[in-house]
Amino acid sequence: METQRCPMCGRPNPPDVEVCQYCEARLKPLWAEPSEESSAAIEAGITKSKPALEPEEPLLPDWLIASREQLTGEEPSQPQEAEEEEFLLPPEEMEINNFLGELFSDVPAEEKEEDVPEWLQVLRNEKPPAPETSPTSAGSEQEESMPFWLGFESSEPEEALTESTSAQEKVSPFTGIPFEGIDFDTDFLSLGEKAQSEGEAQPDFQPSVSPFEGVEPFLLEEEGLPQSPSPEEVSLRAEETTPPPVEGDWMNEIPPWLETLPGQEWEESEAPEKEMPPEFLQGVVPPFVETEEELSEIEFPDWLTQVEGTIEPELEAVIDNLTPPTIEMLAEQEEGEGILPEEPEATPPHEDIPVEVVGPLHGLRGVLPAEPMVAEQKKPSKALSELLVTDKQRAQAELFLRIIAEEGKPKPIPTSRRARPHTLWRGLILLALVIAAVIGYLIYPFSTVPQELSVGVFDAMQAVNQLPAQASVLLIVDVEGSDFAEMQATTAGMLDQMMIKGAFFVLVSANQNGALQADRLLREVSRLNGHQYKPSSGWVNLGYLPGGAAGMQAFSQSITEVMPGTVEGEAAWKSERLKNIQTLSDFDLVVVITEDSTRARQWIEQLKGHVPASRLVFAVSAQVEPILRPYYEANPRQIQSVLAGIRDGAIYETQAARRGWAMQLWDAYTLVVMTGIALILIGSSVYTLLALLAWRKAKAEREGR
Amino acid sequence: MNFDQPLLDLLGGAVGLLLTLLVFSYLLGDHILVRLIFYGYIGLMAGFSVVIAFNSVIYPLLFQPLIDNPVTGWVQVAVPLFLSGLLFLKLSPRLSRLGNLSLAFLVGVGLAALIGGAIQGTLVPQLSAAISPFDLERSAMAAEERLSGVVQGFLILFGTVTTLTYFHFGARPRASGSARRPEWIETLSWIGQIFIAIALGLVFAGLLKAGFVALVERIQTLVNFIITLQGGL
Repeated sequence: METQRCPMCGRPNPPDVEVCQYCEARLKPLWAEPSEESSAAIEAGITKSKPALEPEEPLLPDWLIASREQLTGEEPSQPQEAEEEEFLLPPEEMEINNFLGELFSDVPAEEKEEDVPEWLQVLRNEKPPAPETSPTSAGSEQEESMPFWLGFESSEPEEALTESTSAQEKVSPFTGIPFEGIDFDTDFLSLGEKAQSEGEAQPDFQPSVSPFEGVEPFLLEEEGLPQSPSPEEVSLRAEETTPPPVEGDWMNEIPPWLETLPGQEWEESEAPEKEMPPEFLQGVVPPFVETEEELSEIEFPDWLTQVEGTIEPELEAVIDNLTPPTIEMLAEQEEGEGILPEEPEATPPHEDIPVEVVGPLHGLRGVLPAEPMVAEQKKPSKALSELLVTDKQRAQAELFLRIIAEEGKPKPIPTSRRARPHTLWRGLILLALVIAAVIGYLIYPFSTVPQELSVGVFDAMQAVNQLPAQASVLLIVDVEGSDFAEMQATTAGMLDQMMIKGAFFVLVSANQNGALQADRLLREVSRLNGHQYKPSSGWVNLGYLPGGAAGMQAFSQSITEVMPGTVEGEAAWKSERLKNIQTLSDFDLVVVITEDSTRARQWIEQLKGHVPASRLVFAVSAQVEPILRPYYEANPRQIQSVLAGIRDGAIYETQAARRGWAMQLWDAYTLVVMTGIALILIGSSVYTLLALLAWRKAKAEREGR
Repeated sequence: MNFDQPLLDLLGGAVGLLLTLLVFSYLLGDHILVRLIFYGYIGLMAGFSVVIAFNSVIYPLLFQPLIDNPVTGWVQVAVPLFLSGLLFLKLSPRLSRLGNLSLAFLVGVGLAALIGGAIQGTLVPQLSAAISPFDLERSAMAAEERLSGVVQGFLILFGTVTTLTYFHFGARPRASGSARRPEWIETLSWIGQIFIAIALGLVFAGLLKAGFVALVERIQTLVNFIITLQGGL
């Protein structure tokens, strides 16, 4: 498949595309008809008779080909006709390229005599051809062979040039736009005439050779306007070695007027270490100003000074603000913050600047420095890698390091001098409590009774007394084995009263031990009080209710579906005593027995709305009482009653005139409690006394010093 | 094989006495016998829990429907069985992610029940109860009791506010870097600490009382056993 290769990136493209698919460079040059206004000015420097390029010929200007061949030492190729360039470049640039191609060509003058313009023949000390017919025609012929602005370089055709420029319209050679308000006779051309007539140096703004020498045609193509290379580009190219002089080359024969130009002085007085233009461009690179002083010495044309004077101060301020900070400014700023940046890295040496190996810029050094120089990975500057650490942050970091260091150090285990006394104290306390319990149980039984009737006990007794005969009572027993004694003492009197009334119990528990403890509780109460309560006839045990709060909620909503059977596997709700029970509200009383405050609160929350508060009684451990008091003392109440601990159980038994489990423990319990209180007071007093003694001792030591 | 009930009681009492004394010996220091008792208790509880779970949950909810009606029973137990199977995958680190479905179901339902119950059973009723003493129109108390009711309500309100203020830990940072609550919050917080200390003291006293009851019950059982032994001997 036939392809066309991109002149910029070198990649193949289909033959029918006009723009490179990879770099979007134009593959087929555009051709635009020059306007009539600009055609006259353009034709002044164009040689029209240029053969077409061969298809395989690279799109290079003649001057670049010639200079490359000079560098490589090859035989100069036949001068290519620049007709193809007419398709590539605008007319203005073609004029420049033609001129530069002519300038760099090594073809003998005889071979292209007809193409050598008159001004060039003057430079070669050749006799220009005689004018043909009229000054006007001579002037027009001269315009065809050289740009008008170079006309004042030559000495002989001054008049013809002046006449031609004045005769025709003053048009910019670059844009084709006529100059307005500029008097060429007095501004531009008069300066050249004056300088040459007086034998003085040309004005500073006028370059020594040509303002477009050294400008690459592709740059001109991109910008559309003739540009001078930047000082950096000039310095880079100046390092190229100068091609060996060719004998008879006109460029080595510098005319006297050219020696006096500033550019020539620049070339000769250049310091050795100063960067030189590339080799193939030496001698053609115009001198450029490097300092502001030199710039100020340049005399600009009037129209340019007028334009410069029209810049408003506000615009200058905006430009100043847009100016990026210099390295010195950044260094001062960093120095003010206590951090100095590293010195900027120096420009790589000339040898490190790569040479283009492909494309139209083949052989040029440092032409496209973006990849190796700009995108080159550099060591990050110190200012970027260092943190801004304030004094406070530094102090905190030091403190943190000190803490870490101290954490790593092994710390000696403090010797506990009180370990042995603590063991002894524990033993003594246990002994005291055991003795109190034994004395209370054996020596002084039934010596004391609880005096007060608490409101909770009264309400509980009322709820039990209101139970009908053969009532059905739901007992929710969430008791662990360790608290069974207290819960038995708390509920024994109440359960005894219920058994007297012949209540039928339904047992359920939300913890796994509760069902077993519930069964044991009823057995113990029945045995202690002489009842004949047995499973099935006296109670059914529904067993363990799984699910926590969710299980409680489900149980509250549908008791028969959630707990359909007993622990023995029988149907719970088909017995004669429970056939009327469908919901929780069908029970005559619901008693929750628990020593867990969380479990008690969950039952209150989940039973709310399903059991009337008047039929809900809680028998809890003494440690749960503070949690349940708000529910009981609220207005309206959320529960009917709270029996808390052995005290309420003993009160209940006393009020019921029954000697149950609570009263059997009561005397020993009261004595143990008093012993415990005494031990707490004695221990607190001893430690307080020891602390006072230590304080006084320390105070005496301080006063003694 | 029939055992004599007094002999069983005697044997049970002897084991109980031995275990009680060994547990009491923990006060003098940790030793192997106490550890044996603790390990035995933990193992016994675990085994008992498994039995209870099987008897109360697995068998009646999983096997019983299949036994009663093998055809429709599968429909009843399919979803719980599937979720239970996913929960078993939590044992495998590679497949444990699949068990998150069951876990999410459990957590979601549990939290929904907890939050709903807390709002209906605790938050709203308790807030209403804290306000109600000041509602003299709706109060059923006698005129002379209303004053005491208002005073009691004020104390409850004051205690509630100061206690909740103590748990307000927000503070604005100062220039020195320290953070301290405003003075008026500090004052109320200090008063709230008194109420909290009273409540905690009450809970601690209840805990001590429960412990005393357990100790007295154990001592009484031991004494009864010894008396029984003396009587028998």
